[in-house]
Amino acid sequence: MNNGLPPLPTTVIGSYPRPKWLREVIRLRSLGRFNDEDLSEALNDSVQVVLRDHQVAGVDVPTDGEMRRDEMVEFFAERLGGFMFYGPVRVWGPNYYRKPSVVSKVRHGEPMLVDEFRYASSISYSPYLKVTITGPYTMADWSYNEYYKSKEELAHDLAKAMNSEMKALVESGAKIIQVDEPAIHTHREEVKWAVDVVNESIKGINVKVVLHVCYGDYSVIFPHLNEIQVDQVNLALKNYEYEPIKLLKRYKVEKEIGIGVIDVHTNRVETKEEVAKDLNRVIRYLDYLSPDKFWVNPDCGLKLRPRKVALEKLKSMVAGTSVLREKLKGGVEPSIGPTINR
Amino acid sequence: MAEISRISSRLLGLAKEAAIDYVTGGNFLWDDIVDMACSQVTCHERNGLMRFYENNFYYRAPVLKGQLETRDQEYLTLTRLFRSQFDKNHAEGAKLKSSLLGPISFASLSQDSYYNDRVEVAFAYSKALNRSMLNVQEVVDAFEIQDPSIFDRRADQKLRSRVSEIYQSLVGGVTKEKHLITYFFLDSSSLKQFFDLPVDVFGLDMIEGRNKMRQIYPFVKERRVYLGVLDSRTTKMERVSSIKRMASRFSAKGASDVIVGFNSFTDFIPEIVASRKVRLLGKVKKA
Repeated sequence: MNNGLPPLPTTVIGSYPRPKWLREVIRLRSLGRFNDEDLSEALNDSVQVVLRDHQVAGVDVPTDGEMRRDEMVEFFAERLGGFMFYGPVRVWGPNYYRKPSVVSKVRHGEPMLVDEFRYASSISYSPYLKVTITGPYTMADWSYNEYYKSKEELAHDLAKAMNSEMKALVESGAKIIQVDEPAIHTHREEVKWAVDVVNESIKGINVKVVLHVCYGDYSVIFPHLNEIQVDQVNLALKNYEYEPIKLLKRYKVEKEIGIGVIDVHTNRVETKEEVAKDLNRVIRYLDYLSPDKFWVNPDCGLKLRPRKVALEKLKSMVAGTSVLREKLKGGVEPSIGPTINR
Repeated sequence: MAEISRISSRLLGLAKEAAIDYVTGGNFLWDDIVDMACSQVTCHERNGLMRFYENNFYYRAPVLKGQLETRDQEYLTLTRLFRSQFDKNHAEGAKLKSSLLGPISFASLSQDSYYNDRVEVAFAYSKALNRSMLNVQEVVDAFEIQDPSIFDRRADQKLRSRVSEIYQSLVGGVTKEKHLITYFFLDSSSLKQFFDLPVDVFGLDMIEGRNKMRQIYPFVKERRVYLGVLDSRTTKMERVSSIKRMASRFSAKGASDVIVGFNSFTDFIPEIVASRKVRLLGKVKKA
């Protein structure tokens, strides 16, 4: 049965620039001049704006832009039991985030993403709304551990907590879940157990599960990608001028591949011709994979780009993909369901 | 600058309270140690964000498109400013040290499209940095050379094998104390070469090295050592007794001086925790 997705489905990684007025509302809320209800309304409105942008650009599988999340680890640490915050920590230059400390056993309490998923899906133009969730290894790596004997032990408890969250999402109707693991390749000596931890977090999640990996030394994780029980891996590739595809081929990664064709670190908007050419090059090079195995996405979340730039980049991504779709017409139907029984 | 001075003064006050022996101005003016290096030598261009070793911390990589040169008087002027602040407010006997990025790390962390050889980059950087050190040495009491790549097995092996010559070129004519600080890595097989380098204090990350003490002991006799015992990558507090025990062991093994402190710079932890750890250091001294 046709699921309605075209060949080379386009998607986003998750985050999208918050509208300026939302940032102002958040600021005014912190000063006590708006109440929680005002903030909630503004957050919902911003999700409408994001989905509208995604629709205008023609993205097949949108997200809610992670409007409710200041930062990908903070958000979950604030809602899981066992964490506390001492203060901001520098990530680069003048940019800081509140890196949490684990001070007692990590516990999953109330669902963290179900309300935002329900709201976004109620207004989504696409039945295939993707939900993103920070993976257990990255949560552990980007937190301080004051409680567990080892990071591995902490990560396993985080895997259980994230698994509960994903089960709640599936029960609420989520069809695509993306696990964000940007740290999974940062400690070579930990990769083997990091793979086990990710697999533990997605056990029993029988919808499409995507793994997002970006920036860093891919040679650390690519040899293990086939061991990770996800259906798809999406990657930052444009930023590296697609060099990592050689590694994908060398390790014969058999997953669906989300090709990062948009550099999120620059305001330069890629042309549609450039996107089409890049996609063509990647698909031809990875000729051991059938064309239905490819999806298209930016390298990473777009939240650090100006909103106008983010939208133009998405439009180019979709336009460039459309050029290539014409060439792939016939017999290429991407899967929307799980390809693995977890 | 007023804000920088205010924060530096606050740090100096904290260091005085804890009776810290060696202090910096806090290096608040720079984003990171690589940024600081680029205030001392010409970095030509700075590229996109790169991960600083394996941390969730990023720096802009220097892009070398010409010869590395010593930069103008900017760094000297700023160091004079810190000196005047330090002179107004420091514990008795405390010394001001200037932080520098070591040549092995600079060569490893930069993107070179001029020399086409990391060894050449390291030599050129050492030469340029040496001039900067000679300019600044009248203002400071010590240099803290941070060079984690010395022990990084992933660093260019040719570069690591020439570390001795590179350091000779770095420290020529420098009369002030030279503290070589390494962190994140501790490669036991390179310890002999490390302890033969022409510096006064040998700094090791004892969080990484806590299980390698027996391999380190044979090299510390009559050496001044810096033990990085406060973990600047965790909010968990260390115990005074454990730090004292480790320092005593190194003294017992013949180290001529044992200095204890953070294992690396403290940008990786919230300020409130870094301050608590500085105070803990004061308690170690008093215990």
